[in-house]
Amino acid sequence: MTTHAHTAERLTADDWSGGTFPYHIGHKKLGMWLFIVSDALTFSALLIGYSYVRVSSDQWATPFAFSPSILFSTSMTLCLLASSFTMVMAVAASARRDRRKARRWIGATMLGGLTFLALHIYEWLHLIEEGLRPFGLAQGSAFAKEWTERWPQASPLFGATFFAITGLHMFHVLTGVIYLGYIALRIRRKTHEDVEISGLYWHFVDLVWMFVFPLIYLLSVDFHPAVH
Amino acid sequence: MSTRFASLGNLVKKQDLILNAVCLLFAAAFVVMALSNVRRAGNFFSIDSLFFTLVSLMLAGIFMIIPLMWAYETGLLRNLFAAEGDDAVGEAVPVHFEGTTKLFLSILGFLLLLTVIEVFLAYIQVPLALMLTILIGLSLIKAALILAYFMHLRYERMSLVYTLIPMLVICICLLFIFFPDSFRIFNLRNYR
Amino acid sequence: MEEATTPIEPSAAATEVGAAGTDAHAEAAAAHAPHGHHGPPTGFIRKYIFSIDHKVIGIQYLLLAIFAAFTGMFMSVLMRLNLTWPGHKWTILETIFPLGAPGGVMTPEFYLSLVTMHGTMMVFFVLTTAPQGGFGNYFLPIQVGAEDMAFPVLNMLSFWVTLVGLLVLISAIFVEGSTIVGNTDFVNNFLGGGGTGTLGPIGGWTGYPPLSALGKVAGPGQGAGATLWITSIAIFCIASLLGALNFITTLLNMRTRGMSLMRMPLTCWSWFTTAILALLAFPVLLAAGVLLLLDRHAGTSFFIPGGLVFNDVVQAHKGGSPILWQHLFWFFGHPEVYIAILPGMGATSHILSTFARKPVFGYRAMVFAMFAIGLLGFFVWGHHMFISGMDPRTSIAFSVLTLSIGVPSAIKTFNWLGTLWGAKIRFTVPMMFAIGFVSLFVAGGITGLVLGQTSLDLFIHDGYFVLAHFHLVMGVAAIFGMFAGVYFWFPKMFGRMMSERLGQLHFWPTFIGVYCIFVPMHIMGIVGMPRRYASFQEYDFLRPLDPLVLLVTIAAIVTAAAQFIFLFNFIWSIFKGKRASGNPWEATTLEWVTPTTPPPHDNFGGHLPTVYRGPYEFAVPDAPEDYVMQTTPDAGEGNVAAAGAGQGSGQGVQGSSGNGHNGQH
Ligand code: HEM
Ligand SMILES: [Cu+2]
Repeated sequence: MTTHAHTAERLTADDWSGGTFPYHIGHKKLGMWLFIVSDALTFSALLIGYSYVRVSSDQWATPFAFSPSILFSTSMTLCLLASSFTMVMAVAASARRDRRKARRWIGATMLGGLTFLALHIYEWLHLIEEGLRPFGLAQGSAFAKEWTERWPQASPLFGATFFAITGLHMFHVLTGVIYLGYIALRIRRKTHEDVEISGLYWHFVDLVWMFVFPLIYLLSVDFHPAVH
Repeated sequence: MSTRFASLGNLVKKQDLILNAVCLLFAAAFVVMALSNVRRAGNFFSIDSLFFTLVSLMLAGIFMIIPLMWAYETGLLRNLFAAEGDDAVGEAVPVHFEGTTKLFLSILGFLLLLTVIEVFLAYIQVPLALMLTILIGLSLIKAALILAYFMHLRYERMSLVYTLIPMLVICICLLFIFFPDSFRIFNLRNYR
Repeated sequence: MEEATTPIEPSAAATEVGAAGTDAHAEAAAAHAPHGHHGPPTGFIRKYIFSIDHKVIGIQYLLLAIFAAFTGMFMSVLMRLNLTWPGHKWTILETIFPLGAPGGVMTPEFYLSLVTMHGTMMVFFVLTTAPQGGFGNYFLPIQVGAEDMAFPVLNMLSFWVTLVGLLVLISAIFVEGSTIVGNTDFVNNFLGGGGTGTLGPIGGWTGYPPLSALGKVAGPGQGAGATLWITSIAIFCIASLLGALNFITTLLNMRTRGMSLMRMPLTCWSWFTTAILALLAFPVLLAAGVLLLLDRHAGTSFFIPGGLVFNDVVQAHKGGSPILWQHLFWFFGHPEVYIAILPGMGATSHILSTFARKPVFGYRAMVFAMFAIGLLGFFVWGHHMFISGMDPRTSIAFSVLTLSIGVPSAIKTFNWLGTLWGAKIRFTVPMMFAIGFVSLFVAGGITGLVLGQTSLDLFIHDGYFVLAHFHLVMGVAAIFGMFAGVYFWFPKMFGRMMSERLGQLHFWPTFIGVYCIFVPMHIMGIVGMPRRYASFQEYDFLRPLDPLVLLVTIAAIVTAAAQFIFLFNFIWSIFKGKRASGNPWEATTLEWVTPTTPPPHDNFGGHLPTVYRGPYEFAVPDAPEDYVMQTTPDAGEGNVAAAGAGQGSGQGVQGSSGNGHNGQH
């Protein structure tokens, strides 16, 4: 909420001796960066927890067939990556004060996010239908039959880690889309910094997926898919 | 001066084209997805198959919105949106912002390439330990690219980087101290 | 201290820009800045309830903490009573908690839920809330010369989220088995069911699984109450996170002109370090809490190993590890104890220097020690897990690292003593509490060295020795820091002095009382008295301790009673205390230069101060008084620079800025 004159004044003195923004960035941006650091730790803790239970278990199910499961999640990844790109373009447009373009690029970003969400939810529904549950496997489901045969010692925590981590990520994507929507709607009243900050958040969500995707999906590839 | 503005205008046009191309590409991909589903589904009228087709088509439609709007705007009613008021465009001083479309595109290309490599590793069935190492390595590179270019950290003060990154990295490394215990649980269980 | 004597001047900034006109412009902008933020609110609700003024929020936090502290203290006295006279009928208890104390006799489960509530309340809602949320909120912006926090609305949100957390926590002791809300459909289905015969969660403030992860099958005290307990913790995490990023941003971005990092009061450094710890520790607890809730309500088994049998029923859970929870919890837990104690250290340094009328001994060393403690604080969580079945090789590493925290702690202690050495001390009440803090910190810290060694800890773990250790070093020491802060800053917060006489009357019983409570506990611990036991009737080898147990209880009651003197003093002084001047303690930092007392809405009345020197310039030779305010320009060269700010002059000035102010980061 600082005025421009105020900002300019703060940028003049020596970086660390007070009366300045030491990083030459405003409050909101610094705040968002700090939030990202702390949120990154939440995800790290979850991913470490997942690795911990996976390492300590006798066997870990690897049920994702390359086609279609991995290809499907790859297309989700592409959506997110593309949306990250469109977000950069939105920020660049907003830096040129071209708010109309910025809004449109943000719209494209939201589309990428929504696509991701739709695909993800479809995937979840599909897995749930097959019998995957947070607590293990639904009794008598397709998975239950297959898994007892192929991974008799498998830890029941596969579903737990999968749903917990992707669920939390999905929640972040959802909030991101809503946040972007808010920014896009009111873009005429928003400063460039606001757009940039929403971009930071969006890229962070993308960044987290860059770890979730290999660790949760690619490391659970089914090397010898059962022939149906 | 005037040449600079001209090149800016070109850039804007180029951006429009890229945006529309990206959208069209996505739309096309989804149409292909829907079609292939129709072709491959044994029983087209199963819930699964219907859902898949419909969602794909819907998504394709959504991605078409932007190119359609663009065509509408440029071709037919150029002033429809301009009348709404272009308050900020042109008058205010542009904020200093580094990075060109070309740069961002090449970063995107890199990220896509790395992703493809990762997926390819899954395809050729690399042993788990090796796979894990490579995946983590590639993911770190991807994260660094996103941080540096998309999140613009490269163009910020170095002091910001020094403030944020070490504390995060230290904490994440510390979390790795958990692992001796998980190995130990595994070994205790499998003493045989 | 070198840079403390070197003047810094705003005109250096102006010369960078170039023209004098720009400087005038900047000056106008600076004057204008506070109003750009937000205007003073009107109306009772916006002003006092949903206020976004950091000062009001600080006081709200403080009141919340005082409420929680008295509730927690009440519970601790109840526990002591039960330990000393087990089986005694306290009829009044039955009326409040018919299930917890049927016939007025406390059940063991009720005792345990008191332990849990006491611990959680004290750690989260007193020690994390008051020093940081309360004093930090009120004084950090003022001490760095800002008109408010960086995110005022977020600040308000943090407080209200904290309050919700507290309410949820309190409700935890009432849902389970209570006749008022107990066993309704909501409790049974949604919160995971009421058990019988107990009230509230019994898992302790650490909530160890597998019992806490299983829900009500695990027995009484693990049903709805435990769910609410975890929920409350998760809510608190979010509030603390928001608070922490607000603090860090404010401190980094909003320091006024001349307030370089090395000119900040040590209180600001401590709040800063604390905020960083909170920013990095709470997200991990949040993740752990989410997983624990999933275990309880989604049937997952992150923390539950296979093969557990309850009531002859084998539990379906398998594959998880309780040690994972311990790791996650203590990864947060140890930084948390520093979150509790660091602001106390900051306040103590500040107050010692003020009343010893001497600069803090080794300011730079103090700052580095503080950061070293904060950093090392992340490396040592394993010392809580020596007997958990953790890998013994990691134990060794944790043990060594734990002992190494002794080094920065000792640096701080010696610097405090160095500050006091040879000083003409003014024995005011805040000073007495600050000295009490040093004493308690040392007393509790020494036993920390004992507990940090794996071999010794294996013997005394989970007993009264540990209890005594952490109460001294974390609990009571931090509380003393808070008392020191309240007595010290009260004049600024409410514009009136607290009664010195009542303060002394409060200090002595409290100081002697806490030693009488916690020193005997060390002995009990060495004899073998285990922690979290409702009664020791069955253990003959503990009989000889009975007189000590009685002594501790009497001391606890006396200490608790003495706190009402404080409460009375606090409330009475708000309305009837002697009017305070703007700077009653003759201190030097920015909170004492505000135009009015209490400070106006924007703290400095529209003109942010400019800082010319370090925070603790007492006993300055040749100064007119024995202290020099941070805003006082130096006589001579610096003064010229300050006066010449408008003309953009100052040739020698730029050089001095270059010398005095580099290398802070
Ligand atoms: C009047 C002063 C106090 C007294 C008499 C007191 C007494 C007690 C007692 C009797 C217990 C339970 C011991 C057991 O059966 O295991 C306990 C536990 C505890 N107290 Fe205090 N306490 C006091 C102040 C504090 C303060 C200021 C703190 C702030 C940190 C605190 C934090 C705790 C914690 C964390 C526990 C452990 C709870 C658990 O085992 O989960 N106490 N206290
Ligand atoms: Cu510890």
